[in-house]
Amino acid sequence: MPTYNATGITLGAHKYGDAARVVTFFTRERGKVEATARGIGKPGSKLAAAVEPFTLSRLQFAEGRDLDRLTQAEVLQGYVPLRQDMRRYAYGAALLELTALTTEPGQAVPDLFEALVAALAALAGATDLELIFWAYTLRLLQTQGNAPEIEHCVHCGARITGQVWHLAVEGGFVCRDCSPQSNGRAQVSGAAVGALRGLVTLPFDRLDRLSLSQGVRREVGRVIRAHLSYHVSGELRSLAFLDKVSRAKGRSDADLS
Amino acid sequence: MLRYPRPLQRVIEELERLPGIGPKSAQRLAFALLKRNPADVRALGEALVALPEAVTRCQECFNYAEGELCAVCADPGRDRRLLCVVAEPADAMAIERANDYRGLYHILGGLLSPLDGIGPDDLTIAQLVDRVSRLQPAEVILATSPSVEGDATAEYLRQVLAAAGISNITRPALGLPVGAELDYADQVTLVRALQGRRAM
Ligand SMILES: [Zn+2]
Ligand SMILES: [Zn+2]
Repeated sequence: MPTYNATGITLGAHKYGDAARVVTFFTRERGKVEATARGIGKPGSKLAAAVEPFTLSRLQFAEGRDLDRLTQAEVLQGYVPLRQDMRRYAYGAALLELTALTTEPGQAVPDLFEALVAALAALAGATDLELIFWAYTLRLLQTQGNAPEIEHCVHCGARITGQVWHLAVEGGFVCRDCSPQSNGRAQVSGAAVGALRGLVTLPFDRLDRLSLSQGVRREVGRVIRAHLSYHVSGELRSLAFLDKVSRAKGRSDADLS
Repeated sequence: MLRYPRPLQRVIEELERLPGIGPKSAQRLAFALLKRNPADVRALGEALVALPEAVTRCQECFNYAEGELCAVCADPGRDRRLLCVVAEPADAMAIERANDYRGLYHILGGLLSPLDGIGPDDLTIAQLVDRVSRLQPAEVILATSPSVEGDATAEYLRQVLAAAGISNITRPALGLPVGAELDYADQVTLVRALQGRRAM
């Protein structure tokens, strides 16, 4: 059977019989690849480590009639800190989920692949995890052509300065000259637009430099969530999970005090 | 069109609903049952009928049990100062088979998983905290599997248990498989084997 090689990140896997898995990878060369992997779960399996979520590996697949089969794997990076901290784990899972929701088999998106590798590496060390999730979301929307326009007013094309209006359906921001009133749009400060620009342009390992006030953070979060829910259908389980964990934690902390 | 007799068809349909059993395997199993001695088939049927009521969850550790307590929790010879936390009953069974551990277990009922939406309240974590507060074990062993989910769950439990005042929390040594050669080990295994090194 013909084989091919690819470099990929494991997005997820589900059980298929006792020791087999159906694994979803996001590869640099071929976009999303779904493949079976056999003999997982037995100690000493050469493929087991590559089947774990987050893992970056060199992979070899054999083409199959239905699904391709993973035949060889060499782990390049396992992002170990993501397993050792519940918030890093959940944000990492959110990146994987978002990628799985928006990529297609056979369609390579090299820019997005590089962004995912950089984002996972940054998640392993950064302190502000939310910024990494946001930056990745914006870059993912960019590769789809769905990112908010952050330089110019979507109505008149004037360069955006100071306070503007935002509505995800319009694809970005509207200046005050075009619309003195909000007309159902959300108000966004110049600082928040600046933060969005930083999220798009700064390398992932420098996002920690953006120090956002609580107010700006709320605005940025609102803008990104609006675009995300407008362009990507389906709720991210990982973010709901993060809420569940903070709720459970909050409760047990409260019990102690 | 030729159909199987209704009672046979029904057995095939019921078998098909079990995990890992497709239409072909279900037929094969049903035919195998037909060919067996009727007393054997009746014995199997009786065992199945008794299953839902006869097997309960242990009120202490959530392992399978007959009655209120499982065999381990009911055994006065077990060391109550040791508590081993595992994901599933099958994991406790694997440790029992290794025939070395003499403490108690706690079955979580799964692992925390953002991708599957399984949060702390979907597992027996609150019950675990309650139990360690009562038992005050000298050591809690977090024996979830060394997967991403198993590691993350163990780390979460470590924090929750530490907050509940448990100081001696351990995790089984993770590292190179027996008989493996070092240069074949993957990056994750090596990092963790080195993190878990010990003085000799
Ligand atoms: Zn304008
Ligand atoms: Zn028990």
